[in-house]
Amino acid sequence: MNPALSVIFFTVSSGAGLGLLVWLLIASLMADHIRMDATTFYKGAAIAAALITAGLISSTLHLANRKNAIYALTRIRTSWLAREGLLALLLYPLAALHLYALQSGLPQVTPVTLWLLIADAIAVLYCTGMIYGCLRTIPRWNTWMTPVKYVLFGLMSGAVLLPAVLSLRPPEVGPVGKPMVAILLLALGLVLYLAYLLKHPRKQHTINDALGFLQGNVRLLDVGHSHGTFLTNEFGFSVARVKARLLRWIAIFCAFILPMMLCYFTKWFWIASLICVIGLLVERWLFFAEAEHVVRLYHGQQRV
Amino acid sequence: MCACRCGINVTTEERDGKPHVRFIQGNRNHLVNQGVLCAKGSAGIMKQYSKAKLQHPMIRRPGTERGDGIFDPISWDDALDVLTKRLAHIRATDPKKLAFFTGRDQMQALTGLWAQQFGTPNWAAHGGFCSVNMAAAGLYSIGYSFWEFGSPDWDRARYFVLWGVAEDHSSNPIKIGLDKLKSRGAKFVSVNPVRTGYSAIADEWVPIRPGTDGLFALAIVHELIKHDWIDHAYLVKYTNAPWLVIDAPGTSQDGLFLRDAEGKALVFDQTAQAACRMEKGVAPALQWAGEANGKSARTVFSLILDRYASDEYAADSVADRCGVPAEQVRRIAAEIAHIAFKETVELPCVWTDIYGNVHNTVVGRPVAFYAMRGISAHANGFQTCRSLHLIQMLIGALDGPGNFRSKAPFPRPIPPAQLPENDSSLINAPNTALSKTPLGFPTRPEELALDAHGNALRLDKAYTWEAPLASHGMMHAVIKNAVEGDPYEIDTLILFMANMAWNSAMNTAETQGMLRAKDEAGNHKIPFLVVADAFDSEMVRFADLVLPDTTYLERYDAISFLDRPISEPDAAADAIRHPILPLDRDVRPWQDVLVELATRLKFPAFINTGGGRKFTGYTDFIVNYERAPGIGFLGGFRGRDGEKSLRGEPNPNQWRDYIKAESFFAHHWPENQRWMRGVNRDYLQAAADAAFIPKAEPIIAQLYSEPLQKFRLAGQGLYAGPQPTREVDKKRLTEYFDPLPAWYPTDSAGHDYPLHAITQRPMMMYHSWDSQNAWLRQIISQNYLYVATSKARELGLNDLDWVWVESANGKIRCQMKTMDGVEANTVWTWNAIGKMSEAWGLAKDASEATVGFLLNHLISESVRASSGERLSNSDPITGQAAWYDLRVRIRKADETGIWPKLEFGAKA
Amino acid sequence: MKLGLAIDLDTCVGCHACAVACKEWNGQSLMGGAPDYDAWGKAPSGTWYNRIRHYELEGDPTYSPHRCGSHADTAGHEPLSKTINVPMSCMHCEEAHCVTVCPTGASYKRAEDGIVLVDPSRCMGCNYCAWACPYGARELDQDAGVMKKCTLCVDRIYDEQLAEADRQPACVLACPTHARHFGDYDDPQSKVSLLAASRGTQSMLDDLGYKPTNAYLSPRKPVEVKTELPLRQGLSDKAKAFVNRLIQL
Ligand SMILES: Nc1nc2c(c(=O)[nH]1)N[C@H]1C(S)=C(S)[C@@H](COP(=O)(O)OP(=O)(O)OC[C@H]3O[C@@H](n4cnc5c(=O)[nH]c(N)nc54)[C@H](O)[C@@H]3O)O[C@H]1N2
Ligand SMILES: Nc1nc2c(c(=O)[nH]1)N[C@H]1C(S)=C(S)[C@@H](COP(=O)(O)OP(=O)(O)OC[C@H]3O[C@@H](n4cnc5c(=O)[nH]c(N)nc54)[C@H](O)[C@@H]3O)O[C@H]1N2
Ligand code: SF4
Ligand code: SF4
Ligand code: SF4
Ligand code: SF4
Ligand code: SF4
Ligand SMILES: [Mo]
Repeated sequence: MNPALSVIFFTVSSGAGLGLLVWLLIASLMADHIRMDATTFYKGAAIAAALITAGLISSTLHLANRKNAIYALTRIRTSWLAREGLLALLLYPLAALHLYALQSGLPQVTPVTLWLLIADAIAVLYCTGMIYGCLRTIPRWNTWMTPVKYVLFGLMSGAVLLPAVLSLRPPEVGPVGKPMVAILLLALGLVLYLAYLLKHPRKQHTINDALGFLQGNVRLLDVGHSHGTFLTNEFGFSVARVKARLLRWIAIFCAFILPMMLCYFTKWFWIASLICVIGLLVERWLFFAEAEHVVRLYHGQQRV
Repeated sequence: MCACRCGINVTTEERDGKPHVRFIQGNRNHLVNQGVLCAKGSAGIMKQYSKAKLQHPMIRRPGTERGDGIFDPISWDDALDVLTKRLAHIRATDPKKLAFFTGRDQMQALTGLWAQQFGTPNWAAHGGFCSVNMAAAGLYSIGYSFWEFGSPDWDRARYFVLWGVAEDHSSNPIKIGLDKLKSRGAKFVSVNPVRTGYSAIADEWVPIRPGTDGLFALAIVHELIKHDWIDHAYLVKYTNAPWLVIDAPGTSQDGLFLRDAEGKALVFDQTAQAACRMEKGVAPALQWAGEANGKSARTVFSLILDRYASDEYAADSVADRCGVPAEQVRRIAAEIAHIAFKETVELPCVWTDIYGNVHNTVVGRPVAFYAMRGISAHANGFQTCRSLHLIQMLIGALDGPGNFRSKAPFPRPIPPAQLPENDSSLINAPNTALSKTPLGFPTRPEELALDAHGNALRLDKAYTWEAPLASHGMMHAVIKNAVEGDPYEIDTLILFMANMAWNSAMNTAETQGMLRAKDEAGNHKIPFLVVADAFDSEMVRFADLVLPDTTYLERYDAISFLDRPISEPDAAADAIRHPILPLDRDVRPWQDVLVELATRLKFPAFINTGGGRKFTGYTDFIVNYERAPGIGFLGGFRGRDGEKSLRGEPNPNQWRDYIKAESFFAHHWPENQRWMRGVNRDYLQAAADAAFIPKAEPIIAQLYSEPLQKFRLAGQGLYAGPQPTREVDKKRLTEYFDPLPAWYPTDSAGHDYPLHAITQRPMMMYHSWDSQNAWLRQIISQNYLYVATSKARELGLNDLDWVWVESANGKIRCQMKTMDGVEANTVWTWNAIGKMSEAWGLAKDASEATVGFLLNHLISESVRASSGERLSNSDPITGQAAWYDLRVRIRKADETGIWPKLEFGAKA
Repeated sequence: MKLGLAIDLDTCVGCHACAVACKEWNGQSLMGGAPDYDAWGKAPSGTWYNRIRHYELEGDPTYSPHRCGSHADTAGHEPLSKTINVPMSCMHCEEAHCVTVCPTGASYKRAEDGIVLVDPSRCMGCNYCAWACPYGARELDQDAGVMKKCTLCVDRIYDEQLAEADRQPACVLACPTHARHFGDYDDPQSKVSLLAASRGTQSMLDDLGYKPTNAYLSPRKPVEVKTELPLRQGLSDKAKAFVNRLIQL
């Protein structure tokens, strides 16, 4: 797949924002060492909102016909993309309601809006994952791991951001301790990613299946056009193996290992967050770049 | 009608107040395409939107060079004045100094008439480099031919062999036909070094080594004869198999037919035990040898038995050279025979043969062949094609149900009774028309176009000892001969619809150099070059004067019986084009220009007795010109009210009537005139009435060709008449003018150049002029050299490698791909994808010019005989250009990008 | 109704006539165009609803009963191979996942005849449907920013102003080998149903579960001629022993 930067940025940025939102909300309920004051909470919320919103805006950049984006919410019964859009937008009224309830001191409302927000954020992450995970045409994506990855990586990057946000709180609230949630999630993320890399449950399709000639070797003689087409531009992208391997190590280190170490050994949570996000951007780029669409079989690739 | 011959319905719509083409659809009622349309046909709309359309007449800017492509606009009046003055001078001094050659147009009846009226013999169309081998071999053997003059019986053939065809002129009919064949479960065999297109859907693909089809065919003949799988009755009655050939080695009579006092060929009648004419009641012997009329003679068929029964033609002997396993040769021969004799079709049909016998059925041996450039574009193509006809004749599979069938105006006498002009006093006479059109079919040395000293009368040296049966002229020799002044210099060259500076040229770069060439005084060796084209082709850029033509959607055209009409086996048919769109630029139909020039130059056929204008223009000419009383360009809707067909007075509303009838006319042959037409009495009478043939006389298929023998005798120094003086000619005549189909190798390149290099036409591209088409060039704007996977492995080459391809004549660099479906010693590419930078309205860096390539750079228009003479790189019999005899070697290149890269303005 | 095409891999010669006819019909039709990019430039490209690809199949004994040719491998066996031309446009799948994934509802499958269409006035050009299509049937119109695809010539097949015989997709009308057929797969007696049943069809990524409506008719097995003519005696004898028959003119 052609790794569209707008989409990569969207998934990582919104993912981190949604994760942060989830942890902020949980933190606002939680015990001492992640407790915070209102200002810090609002700062964190603003950061989360900015990340989410920037991601969403970025996601519209790759639309060829933005003026019709308005219809994008109309097919929630079948389309994960519509679901994601709708649920993402739902965050805003929910958040507004939650804020209003917080401001106006409506204790019977805040838990409801809070849990709704958390559920919605996770649902958005899940939907994003399913946008890709539901595509049978891209075997690498078409596994349960894809949505789980999206949810987990979102929560993970949010969890790394949380201590960074917490570090903004005034000294009287107390120092930020070891962000065990972040470390735990980074570890989980690493395990999942390694599992995904090492043992990827997916179907194989061959050029023989694509054309229905099941005996013998099939190979492309001529593709019927001398230059690129929409299909080759969109699905023809390939990464060199060496480059992919390098990027994979970068992703592993940046997205998981380095942030884990920084969180465990240092208090450089912002740097950890930044590195994590960079790692995830790399991971996401690879996610797209290495995804092979079955239409490549018709263009001569032997298996997908 | 579309660019070649299919019927189309064009829908237009108004846009910005102007009519635009909205949709082009095949005409379902049309004989040729029956509703279907090829990619080029549908993309016709984009030719109309091409950026390469010429806008107005142009004259080369003083001080610029040919090939710079820098022109000044000039008005039509001025352009015609310049040209008229020049032509009038030539005509009044030495008319042959005008050479007028045309490409693949469909108006040779008009251009030929024009040349004849001008008085120059230097006229021909592209047939000489296209497929004259097919035409000539057919017309000297069976009276009709592959290449437009016949077509397989798609509805009844049970076995179809396609020899060397990628696309052909009747590309849609072939495709329609292949579907019919396959739906009926008939077997389709494709003999072709490359397996794409038609070959891809063949039941059996025979990856033959280029240039060896003749050998393969004669091995089939060997099998047929060996097993007596022949149609005795057909051979006896309708071919010259029983004719007696004089056996008198070393004399001028040797190998000629034994004839009676009136010149009628004789056979040996088994009943009378004497030589007789081939008449009703006679029972000719197929095999016989003895004394007759005081001469030693034997039948043609006994010569055939002797020749082809020999081990030389056994499957095991040919297998290696053809690259076809002996088992496959034998099996295919047996299959052909099986279908011919065991799956015979018999249709109820009452018809009368030339002997007056009435038959109640017509018997078909449902084996059909079709062949084209894979056979013709080799220097042994004529004899190879004759070998194919030999098989057809032996099994009696001609013009019967399931066979290759003739299309009106064919069959014609063998060869057609039309001789090339060779009266040098007429040719040299100022302001005098020739007595006939310049092209024809010589039958003996006296009919060559030579002057008293044996020098060529024609610039292209057609009908000389070098190419005696050059029935279509030799356009590929024109530029070289003119530049070398060999046989003589000319003044003006007019080229119409031919891209001679590019893919119609063998050795393109050198040809461009010749077009630029000047003598010591700084004058061009071809002093004046006029190009009539519709688009900004490579050729246009080399012109001195450019006369822009309309496109086929903007003009009237007649696809005439006098030329290459659209007939199908069951119907004689011709057609017209008429303008769909108004002109939006300052261009004129070339036909109108020709009529105008003819009138200004006062050609006898174009002026009244008073010297005034006879025709207002082309449309008027077509309606009113009569070649013979009642015979004009168009056969339909003749007579004052359009009530007569084929023959009748001019009809002033003929164009209107054609347009009403969907632009074509068809005379459907009645059942009794549909089969075996060369020997079908009623058909022959009808054909004579329509002036398709001079007289209703039998057309007996010629297994043995007496004209060839006469030329061979001349080569042997035995002919009682003109004889060649050059050793090289004698040798060639003796070697190649075999009266029986023969095979000889065409390459002498040997081990240095081990690979054959050929081209194929892509189905969606018309030669050079479709790259301007915005849709078609998306499908292909780069070509590759295809190499067999096994060969590539052997040479250490891989997909997309850049390679040097070297021939004895030059080298090119191009990009390659591997494939399985190609004979291992053959490389090939799509024809004419490569273009010169900036031609055809394309950007300078268009991939046609940066990665597309032409194979033509490697081919030479001339070859050297071992004795040193320059000969045209052609079939020694017909002068057909030998495009596919090219031999090359390839190796990996370190550099990328094509080479050579020719650009306008740059000296090649 | 279940309208669709039957495409005959046995007779398709790969001539691209259908693709160009399609481009011509749709390039300027009411349904919106199929534009060209860099039409006269370095690397011409464009939007097409139908494309033809060419393949070689090697080693499938079904299609090459005879070892033939001069193209032997090291063991002396010639490859059994075949060239196949495969035109591909929208299959009008029964389980058209391209439709279900579309967030805007621009993509839809018509209940009445099963044609899958894109409503250009709703499409936002997100490409998602193209991602969901296994068969490469969808291409973005970069000028209009909307997704394009084969419409099964819905603007021809129901057009009462056209003659009955012309109410066919443009590609079907054009195809010179008649390798393309159009009809209703719900009707077991329709030409396409009968063809599919009698000729057998290729299964193309069936395991993805899209249930394509279009059928690709499998290439026929090559025709074999069983010869039963007697072989005569040896050649040299034969030439000598040729017997004239008494055939009167
Ligand atoms: N689409 C399209 N149609 C055209 C044209 C075009 O440019 N484009 N041009 C028109 C013109 S002018 C012409 S002359 C006709 C020509 O039509 P074709 O005769 O079909 O011409 P080619 O494309 O040269 O195809 C020749 C075939 O012969 C094969 N071949 C080469 N050498 C040999 C050999 O030694 N033996 C055998 N058995 N096969 C061999 C090649 O592989 C190729 O498949 O097409 C006409 N129709
Ligand atoms: N290597 C290789 N070379 C070959 C061949 C091959 O097989 N292999 N084939 C040979 C054969 S058989 C042929 S016929 C030639 C053909 O090759 P070309 O001579 O290149 O033929 P075309 O490209 O068909 O058209 C010639 C010219 O006609 C112009 N033209 C098109 N329509 C019109 C019109 O309506 N009016 C006028 N006045 N001009 C028009 C075009 O712009 C073009 O410049 O190529 C030959 N060259
Ligand atoms: S074969 Fe194609 S280009 Fe030629 S006339 Fe027919 S439709 Fe037109
Ligand atoms: S072929 Fe592709 S676009 Fe057409 S219906 Fe099936 S999935 Fe959708
Ligand atoms: S590109 Fe258009 S039709 Fe396709 S999924 Fe997006 S909105 Fe739907
Ligand atoms: S049915 Fe119509 S839209 Fe579809 S491929 Fe054929 S011509 Fe194109
Ligand atoms: S038009 Fe017919 S033969 Fe040509 S590519 Fe299309 S389906 Fe195949
Ligand atoms: Mo030609």
